[in-house]
Amino acid sequence: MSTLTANLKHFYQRPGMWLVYLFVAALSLNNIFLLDKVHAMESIRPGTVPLVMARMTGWFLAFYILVISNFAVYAGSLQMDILNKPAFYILPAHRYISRQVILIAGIVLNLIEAGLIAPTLCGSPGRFISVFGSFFFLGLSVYLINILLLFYGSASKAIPIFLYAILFFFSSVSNALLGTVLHHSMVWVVLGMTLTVFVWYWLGRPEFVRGVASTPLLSGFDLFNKEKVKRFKLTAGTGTWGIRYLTNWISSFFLGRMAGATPFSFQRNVWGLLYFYASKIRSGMVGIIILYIGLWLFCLYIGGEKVWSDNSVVFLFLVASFVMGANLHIPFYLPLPLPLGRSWRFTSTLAGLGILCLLATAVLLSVAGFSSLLRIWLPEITLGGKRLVMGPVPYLFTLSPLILFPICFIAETLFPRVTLLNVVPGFLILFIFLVLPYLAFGTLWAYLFFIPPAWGLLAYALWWFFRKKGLVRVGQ
Amino acid sequence: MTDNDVPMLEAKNLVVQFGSVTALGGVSLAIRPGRIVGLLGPNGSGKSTLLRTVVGLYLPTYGQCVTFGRDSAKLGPGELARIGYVHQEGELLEWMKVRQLVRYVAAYYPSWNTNLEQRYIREFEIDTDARVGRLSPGQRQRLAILLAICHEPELLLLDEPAAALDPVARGRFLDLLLKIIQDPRRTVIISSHILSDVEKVIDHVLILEKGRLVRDCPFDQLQEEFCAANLTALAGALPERLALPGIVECQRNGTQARLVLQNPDREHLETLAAEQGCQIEFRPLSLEDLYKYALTQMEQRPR
Repeated sequence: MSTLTANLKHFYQRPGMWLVYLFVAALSLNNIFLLDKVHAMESIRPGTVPLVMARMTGWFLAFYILVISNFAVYAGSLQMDILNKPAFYILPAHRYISRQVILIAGIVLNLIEAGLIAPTLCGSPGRFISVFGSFFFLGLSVYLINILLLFYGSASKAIPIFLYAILFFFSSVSNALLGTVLHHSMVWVVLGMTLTVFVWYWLGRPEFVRGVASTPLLSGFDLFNKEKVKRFKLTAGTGTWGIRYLTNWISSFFLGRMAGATPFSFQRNVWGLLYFYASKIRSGMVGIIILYIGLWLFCLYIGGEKVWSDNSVVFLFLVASFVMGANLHIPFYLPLPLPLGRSWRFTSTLAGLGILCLLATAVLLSVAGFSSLLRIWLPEITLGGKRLVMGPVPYLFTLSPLILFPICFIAETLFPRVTLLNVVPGFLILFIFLVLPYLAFGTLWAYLFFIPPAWGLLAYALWWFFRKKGLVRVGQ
Repeated sequence: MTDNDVPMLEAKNLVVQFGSVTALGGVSLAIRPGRIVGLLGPNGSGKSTLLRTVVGLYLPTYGQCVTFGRDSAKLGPGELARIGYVHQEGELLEWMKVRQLVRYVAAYYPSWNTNLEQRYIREFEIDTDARVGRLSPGQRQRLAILLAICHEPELLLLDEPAAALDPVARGRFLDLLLKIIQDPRRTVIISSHILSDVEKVIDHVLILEKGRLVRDCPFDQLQEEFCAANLTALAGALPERLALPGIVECQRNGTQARLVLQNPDREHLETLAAEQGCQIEFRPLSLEDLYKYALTQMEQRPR
């Protein structure tokens, strides 16, 4: 078996790739449905495209690029995982095989994707070659740019997200881009070929391969691997993805409270737990909280008075609370052998989670108060004939952590080791406890009745865990 | 019955299973105060599982594990504060500075000895301003040891404490261990693959294999059970067949043979050697060899 064949086999040997294929297939199918709209645009003179259709055609290109980018991230990750292992660096001829594998995968994918699109969009058989070539090289360019970004650095990964956002939300940009794809094939052929030559050279440089072998990198497959992400954060320092450290005065505050409490006391354990959570909030949750508050204020302005009767917006807010709760994580497996018996662990964990929940509620209460103030000062805006008015946050919403956090914590207690598994059942429970009652009764008051049973269930689940389960992560 | 007669920890037919995997299969032992125990065994033999069950991190599937006279699953802060535990992974709270971590852990122990802490920080050359997550594996291990001993525990459990240490740090750690064991009330269980280090301090041996306790004896007893001997022919070659009892291994080379003997009766062997025109000289085996032969003998014994 040749080195190239051995590397190509990873495309079916790695289980994670099958999920990628499923995702690519689903989005490709979606693109085929959108083709009709693009085809309709082709027959209409530029400038006369109706708004809805323009949005749909814009989405088509955004989805097309998303399919290829997604595949590029994982095809590149396959090679990154191998190149990143110093032991593989010394394999003869291995270091230069990656560029071949990456290029072959990109060519095959784009042959398929362009082949699916071109027959419908070419209009006449005479234009097939130019439209096919145009989409092929557009796709190859997108693919190779993503490969470069994947290996270049973590901060640059935000660039494609920004570009997708432009393509999704600004239909005129994506339609203009689509116009060049359909009518100016040579631009894309030249760009695609130039990038191919550049990437071929770039991935083959000895210093590139040496650099990848000795630098901690996080591949697309690692994002759900908590341990690997944690190790990566530690080695990546304090950069974009690195761990954020607590400032000294916060540490001093908590350590002072702990030292002041009686040894073996409930207060000391709870302060210890809150100190632990303070670092988690600093490390990963500040961004989520800012996003959450921003989302609230944005929706308040867009939706105005009507926003709270819109089910999808209600659900959006509930999901945002849920995501905050799901990111807190219960410290079941302490990395330190502290003198805390199982009973103490249970009581202090339950109390600590309760305090966190109350703190989150207090933050939301402040946001609600702030939104009421904003309502007085912010003007009414009319945009495209649509009246936009600031609507305050109903205070009832600020109580949502009281039920959503225990739901997240119960899910995590049941599935402490699997990130995805503690989110999926959580979503189901969220739907059953909150969305269904809301749809049935037309009000969110009903969810308040579920708060005591949710905390009761959480207490039982934690009690069960701390009495019956091992407190060391399996595999350590 | 004196305090020393009451076991500090006791396991009775202790079974720990993880799904279909049996990590400990019916271990029974009793360790009395003041013992320095070497817990030996190949990878996956259940050493870490045993230590974790002793502190209550794992729960027995069957049987019983009692620490300080209390079911290990029900150990409270009072009992746990009497235990120091260095675990294999050396996992710590990565986001803290070393100084903050030391203060954090110290807050949990009423008996934390700050003088001891300062002394070990100096001796171990630990940078207290460094972030824990940025420490090298060896530095982390030193910090973990410091955190486990500064509250002066009665029971110290060391799970591969020197695995990540360089030779110099290992030497310092051994010196420290020798100081720690001076306290006659302190019990230490040390699990390590670096047997040359362990043999300098232990007085009792536990050998685990595939989750079963195959040896539980004083170190002296194991040393008496196996020994090495040099057999030299006084005139001519060695006899074709060596008529000596208890030979476990024999390497011959013309007029000399290197033997490993089990349960040697030294006087009797010297007599037998003289009768065969040979001279025999005994020497002790290292713990590494003792461990190897003890395991080999267990494997050969019919079950």
